[in-house]
Amino acid sequence: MESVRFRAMNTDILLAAEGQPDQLMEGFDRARQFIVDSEARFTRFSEDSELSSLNRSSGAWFRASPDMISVISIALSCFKKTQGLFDPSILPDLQRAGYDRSMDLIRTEGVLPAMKGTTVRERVAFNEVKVDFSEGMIQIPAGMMIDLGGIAKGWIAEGAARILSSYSPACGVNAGGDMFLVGLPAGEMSWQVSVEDPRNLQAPLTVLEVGPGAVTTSSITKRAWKQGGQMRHHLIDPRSGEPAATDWLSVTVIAPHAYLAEVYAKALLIAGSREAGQIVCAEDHIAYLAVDQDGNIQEG
Amino acid sequence: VKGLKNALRVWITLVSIVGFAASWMTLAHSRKPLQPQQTTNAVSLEPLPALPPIGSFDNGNFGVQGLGQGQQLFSRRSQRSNSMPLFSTGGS
Repeated sequence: MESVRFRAMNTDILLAAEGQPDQLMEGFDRARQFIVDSEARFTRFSEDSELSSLNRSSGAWFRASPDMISVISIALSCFKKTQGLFDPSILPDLQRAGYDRSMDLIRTEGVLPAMKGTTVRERVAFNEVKVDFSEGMIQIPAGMMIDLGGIAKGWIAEGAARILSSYSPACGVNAGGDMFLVGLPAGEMSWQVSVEDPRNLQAPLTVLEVGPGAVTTSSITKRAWKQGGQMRHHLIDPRSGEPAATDWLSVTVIAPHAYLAEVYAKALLIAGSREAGQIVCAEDHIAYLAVDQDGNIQEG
Repeated sequence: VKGLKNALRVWITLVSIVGFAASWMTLAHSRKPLQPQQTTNAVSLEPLPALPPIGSFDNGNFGVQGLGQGQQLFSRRSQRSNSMPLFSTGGS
């Protein structure tokens, strides 16, 4: 299997595919370009991105690209599916918790002290976002700011894998733990995916055997930082507006689509062991593996 | 008894005929339904929005759409192996 590694979206990207190396090069180039272009569109860390323009236009109709329409409409659907635990409109809370720059910058420069901001109870619900498919327009309510970090990476990984599959019957794209796998490696009955131990990032916890589809992990131990002596992480509980107080350290989800796996990994991690069953009860094609503070694994 | 049966048959037949005729006349004289050109009182419906391109990923090689309810989506490798998989997940 041929592979290419590079860095984008503040994480490590792996493209891997079976086939003739000379033919695969074009596939790798096109998949990589899709990832670079999509990052430029969906990042909140660039004033020039389409997402930043959408946030600046809150309260008014915004002419959006087909990709933005697609991701926003999927996000609205996932907001309902997860009973609001996946909520892209928590951006003000995320910034207040210190995640106001890219994780690469936070890791090198540290975070700013906690700021006062709009609390979740004063904000408009995310499902007030309107999408006009016929005109290609989006309207987010006045004052709302959204972050697509919880869904776009999976959507991009799946899109890149789709491009790569034009050049290879068995390929996969891994975007920092959000992966989408197409077909099966020659002579194999499954893909093998190593799951990291959230307590010791250098050691694998277990190895999963999965079919084609998506595997994604969300963890509170990787994107974590100290703010005023207090440990913070990037998973905001929309109900409190604070980093989620959960009894799980990581959740790995296997799902038909990468964006779905990414959304449910985050929603389940926020929900924790007590509420996880309520979140996935309506989904037939989703399985998860959660790891708690003691390294115990719970499957569902 | 035979005469009573015949009288009952006649009675049922007459009631059916009269009921049918009365219903026919009622319907014939009732208000006609709105025609397409009579739009003044009709409810105006907005056109249905186009579906988002979410389904563009839903073709044969993608995902696990063919699996039935309760079918296992993954298993954990039981035997120890020295080879580490190419793909690894642990959050970003």
